Amino acid sequence: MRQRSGLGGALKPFLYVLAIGAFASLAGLAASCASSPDDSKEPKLVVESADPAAFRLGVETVFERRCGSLDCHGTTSRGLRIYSANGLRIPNDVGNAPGIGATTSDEINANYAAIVGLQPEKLNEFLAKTPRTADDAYHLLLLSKPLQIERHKGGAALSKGEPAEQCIVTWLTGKADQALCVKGSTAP
Amino acid sequence: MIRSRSKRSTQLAIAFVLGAGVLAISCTPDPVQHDAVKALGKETPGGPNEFHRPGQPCGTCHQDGGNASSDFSVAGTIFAGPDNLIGVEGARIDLVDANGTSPPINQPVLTNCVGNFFVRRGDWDPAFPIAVRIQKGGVTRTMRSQISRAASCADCHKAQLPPADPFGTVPHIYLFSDQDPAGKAKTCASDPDLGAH
Repeated sequence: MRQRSGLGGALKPFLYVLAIGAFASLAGLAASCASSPDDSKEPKLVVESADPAAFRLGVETVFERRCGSLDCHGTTSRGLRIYSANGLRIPNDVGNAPGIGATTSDEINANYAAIVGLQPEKLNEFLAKTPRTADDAYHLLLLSKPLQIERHKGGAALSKGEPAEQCIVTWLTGKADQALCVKGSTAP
Repeated sequence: MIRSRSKRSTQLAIAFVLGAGVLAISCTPDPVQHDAVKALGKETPGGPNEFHRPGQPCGTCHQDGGNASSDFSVAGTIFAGPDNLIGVEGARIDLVDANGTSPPINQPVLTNCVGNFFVRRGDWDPAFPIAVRIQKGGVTRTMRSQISRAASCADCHKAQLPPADPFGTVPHIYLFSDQDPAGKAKTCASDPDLGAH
């Protein structure tokens, strides 16, 4: 009887694994190609009740000041992109640059979209609650990250109870305290 | 018996190759860090020393686990004016962190003759954000926004005229409206005028 070589015998299980892996990859590729394209004509507004008016009035400046510096969320390479007068600007031809020109409406709207779009389903779920509590709000990444309840690459950017944090909490829970927002957006 | 020994040696060989492969992968330097260092370009003639690479992001190498032996918590370069890249000697950098602490008062943070300054982490390990102000000869400039996490000023302040990305970066740090009234450093290990190169 012809003896098989030791190498061939030992490699056989690896070849089986390779073959199964290749088959699974092909099956996955076929499934992904077969899915129908997204043909929705209009964008759906994901979150409607995160009080955009209060956001524009004062909450937004807290995000600009505390999150939007160029070395943090004021950069195109990071999620939750924040535009601001002293940070990242939407490309424009009116001369607005970091430190030049006030934050524009387009930039404020983009910030709102970035913030409510961070966890749209979770935020919708949170906003549907009555009443909404601060403890509920702390489960959102919007607060759990800067408070370092969850890991945040930029470290602790807010602390519980301080005006900036309370501004965001009161906005999320439905009664934005604009006085706290003013305090929270001024230099520490 | 012979077949069993042959099989075992083959298995050992495969295990060795796999082990060596894993070791090789784990010993490969961080590719992001590697690319960042490579992007810095050529070393300053005579460097590395405290006068090297003005205007570049010091923290790329001067960090825990970086290529340099020293770890800086904050470092950068101060230039004279908005339209030049001449380093300012003897400018003082005032820093205050989120806990209200500053670098040791007996070790003021001053720029050297090419405009470079640095704070060793062993001397001051700040809690971000940091507020910063620079001054020399009665002229003071305060940064409008905070430093949220960057150890290198040059992460955001690019020593490039004109700036490559006018919407996402800020110009180099400058103290005066044009030239330093005290003039360019007369004796320096490196030329403090980056524009001269």
